[in-house]
Amino acid sequence: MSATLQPAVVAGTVNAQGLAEEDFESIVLAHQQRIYRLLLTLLRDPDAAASLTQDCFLRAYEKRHTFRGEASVGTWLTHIAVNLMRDHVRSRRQGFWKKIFQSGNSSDGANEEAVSEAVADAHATPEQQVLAREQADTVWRAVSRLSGQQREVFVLRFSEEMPIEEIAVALDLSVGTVKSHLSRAVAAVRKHLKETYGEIALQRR
Amino acid sequence: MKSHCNDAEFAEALLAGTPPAHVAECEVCRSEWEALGGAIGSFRQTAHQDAERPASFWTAQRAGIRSRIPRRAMAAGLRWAFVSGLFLCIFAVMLFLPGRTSKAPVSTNTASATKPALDDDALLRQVDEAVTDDTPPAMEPTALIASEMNSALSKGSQDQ
Repeated sequence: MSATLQPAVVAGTVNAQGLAEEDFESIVLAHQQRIYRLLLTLLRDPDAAASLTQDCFLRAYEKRHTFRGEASVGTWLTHIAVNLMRDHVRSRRQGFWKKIFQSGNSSDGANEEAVSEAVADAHATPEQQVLAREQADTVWRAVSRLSGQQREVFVLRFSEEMPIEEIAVALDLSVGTVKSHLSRAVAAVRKHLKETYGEIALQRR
Repeated sequence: MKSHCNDAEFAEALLAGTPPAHVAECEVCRSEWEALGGAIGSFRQTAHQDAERPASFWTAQRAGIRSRIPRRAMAAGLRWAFVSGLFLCIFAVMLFLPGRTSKAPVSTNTASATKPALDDDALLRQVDEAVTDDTPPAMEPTALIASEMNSALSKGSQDQ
């Protein structure tokens, strides 16, 4: 496998009959971080996310001849990753998404610190950092309560910033269904924010 | 005055990335828009920061993928070899299975082919014996009477 790849392939505009084997490593290089991040955000399990990221690219390698360039490489990989994640959740249903509650409720402060560091801005005041941490934590909790598809749509849109049309292709849904899921997910997050901070506090923010 | 923005309007505005027009004239909705946008922004930032890993992690990931590719290809090859071998074994077992109907006619044919050969030999032997015999089979009774008369006559002449 070579490390070179035409930009068109990385960008996902390839129209060749499948992906060439020599392009594969470059595809991994270009997309591995995004796929890992998506799986980590959906699963909240670093080990599972790392393992499924490898599985995702292995499956893509095996099916590279079936790629026809109808969707971008990124969308195609997202589709594979989401399917793998669903299989993983099905096989380990009892443990799914519990970690988010554990991380939110942990008393050792390690996760809170991680979140705080994650949202910390070099120029933000300590009060702003605390507020940002609280906000992120609240959204995480709200997202954890969404249905599987709503969560996937929400994460793909607001974490990965994928266009609605690409989300629809990646999840095998219509654009209307994606919008509907997003609307419900936003409503759930908004409701959770209100429940957490209260109408007045929210308005003061 | 328009009532406050609903969920659908906020969702639509979030998708578009621009605040609803109502926000400009409503302090309540502006606060909520800012809180919602800020919370989702923090969520995105957290998700991205959580997924940050050192370069060695990504290198190890790629190495892991690379190492698993030939193994998978070999596993697929072995699978095909196993299936092919299994079919060959089944075929061989079916071919050489004892008591098969295909073998029975062969043995029957051999037996039926051998038996007439033996009958032919016996018949030829009988023909040879008949040819070499002095008395034809049809004349055997006459020959027997003649031999008995001869022996009686010779016995009578001896008594006299």
